[in-house]
Amino acid sequence: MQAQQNEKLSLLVDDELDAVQELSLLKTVQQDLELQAKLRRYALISQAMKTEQCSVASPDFAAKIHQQLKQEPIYFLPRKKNDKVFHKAALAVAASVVLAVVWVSASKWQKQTLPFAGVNQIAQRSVQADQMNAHFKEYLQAHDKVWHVNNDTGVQSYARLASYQKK
Amino acid sequence: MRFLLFYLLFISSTFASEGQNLTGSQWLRNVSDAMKTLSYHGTVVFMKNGQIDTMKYQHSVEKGIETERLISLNTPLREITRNSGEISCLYKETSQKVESDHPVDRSFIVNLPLHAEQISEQYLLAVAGQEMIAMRPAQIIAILPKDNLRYARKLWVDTATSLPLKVEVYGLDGNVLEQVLFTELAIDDNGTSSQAQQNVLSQHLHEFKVETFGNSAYQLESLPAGFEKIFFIRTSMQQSNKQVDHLLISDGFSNISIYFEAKGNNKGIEGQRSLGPVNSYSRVMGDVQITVMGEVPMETIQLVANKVDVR
Repeated sequence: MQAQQNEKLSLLVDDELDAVQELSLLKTVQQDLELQAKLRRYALISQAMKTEQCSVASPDFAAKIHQQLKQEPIYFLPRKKNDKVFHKAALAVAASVVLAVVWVSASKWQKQTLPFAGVNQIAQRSVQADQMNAHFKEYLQAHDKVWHVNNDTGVQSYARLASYQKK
Repeated sequence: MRFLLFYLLFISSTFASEGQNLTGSQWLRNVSDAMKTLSYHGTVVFMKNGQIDTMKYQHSVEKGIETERLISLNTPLREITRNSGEISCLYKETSQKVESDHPVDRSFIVNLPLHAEQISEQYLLAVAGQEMIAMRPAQIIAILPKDNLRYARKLWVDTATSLPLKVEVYGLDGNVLEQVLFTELAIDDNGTSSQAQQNVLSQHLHEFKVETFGNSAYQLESLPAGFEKIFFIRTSMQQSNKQVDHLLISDGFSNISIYFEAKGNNKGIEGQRSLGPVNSYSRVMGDVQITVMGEVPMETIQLVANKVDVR
């Protein structure tokens, strides 16, 4: 009997019991403190095995939350609804959602229609680097005419885009 | 660096008695005279920035005007001619010719001070042994800076003609930054040289107008020890088509250029850059882009850049 219950608890933790068996077992557990403790241990072991991490809560953690919820006051006072404010707020929320959807769609569409925008940016940077290098080369040659001797390779950019293939 | 200095001083004292009993300054003066008066040709290898350029070289003097011609042996084929301060570079494959003017005569082979005795405050000239270069006996002259603001050099001088056969520039760590080397050299009887005329597309760069730095919008608080102003010109850059003010200072061997250019709408360039023996540092002051570059250590470049101001 004990072994059978242990097996059922294990199956419950692994979510392998059908609904009827689950309900029956939970009713039994509710009445038996030892089974409750065993269920918590099984759950902890299962969590540790699945995630290699576990956090241990105190045994009465769930009971304390239950108690706190029971102590929450219940208000039965009628609430006056401001319909105009409610409608305006609803309209504002709806408009915001529409705007957000339009903005996201537009940006996606832009990305789709300009698939080479990234390449253009790289090419632009490459052009700027080339211009800087050409400028630097002119400075060098004005500084010392012996730099006319060196051919162009010495002052070209260290990295340049040779080809691009979209995946 | 200090080890190199003492080593060369030792060699200097050892070989001084074997040489022609000339001091380093006298050797330099002889080199300078020989380069201005003799006509010669040969093959020169330029090693700079990890790049090797082998060129046919011809030097001639006619009516006191020096002409140097360099013809590349490898692609891109080009012919560079210096006629006093005028430089032209002819690209043979495209028949494009680029011309520029430079206010100071300076040989392609080596930069020498106008007055060798004036550099004694900054450099120690040591006569350091002999070697064979291009099958010719050469005297080594070590040019050693007395501070860390400039680079050391070695010059191999042809003992027969006093022409420079090899030049090396060393970084502060002792590594070679630049080499110029004759692999063959022959002395010509006269300075006549054939100037091949071709139908070429000529493009003139760097026309300049000499200005007075004192009247300019810029000022330089002080110069590094031994440096003096050589020229201040207003020139134009072909790439940007912008006017650039160019101040050149020199200690005889090492030159530093300071460029002042309107920044315009550009973001401006800030930072350091090195290319072979040349270091440069750029910074923006208000609307002015300042670039300092030269064959000196980066510390010297930054020292100069930090002394530059806009009036």
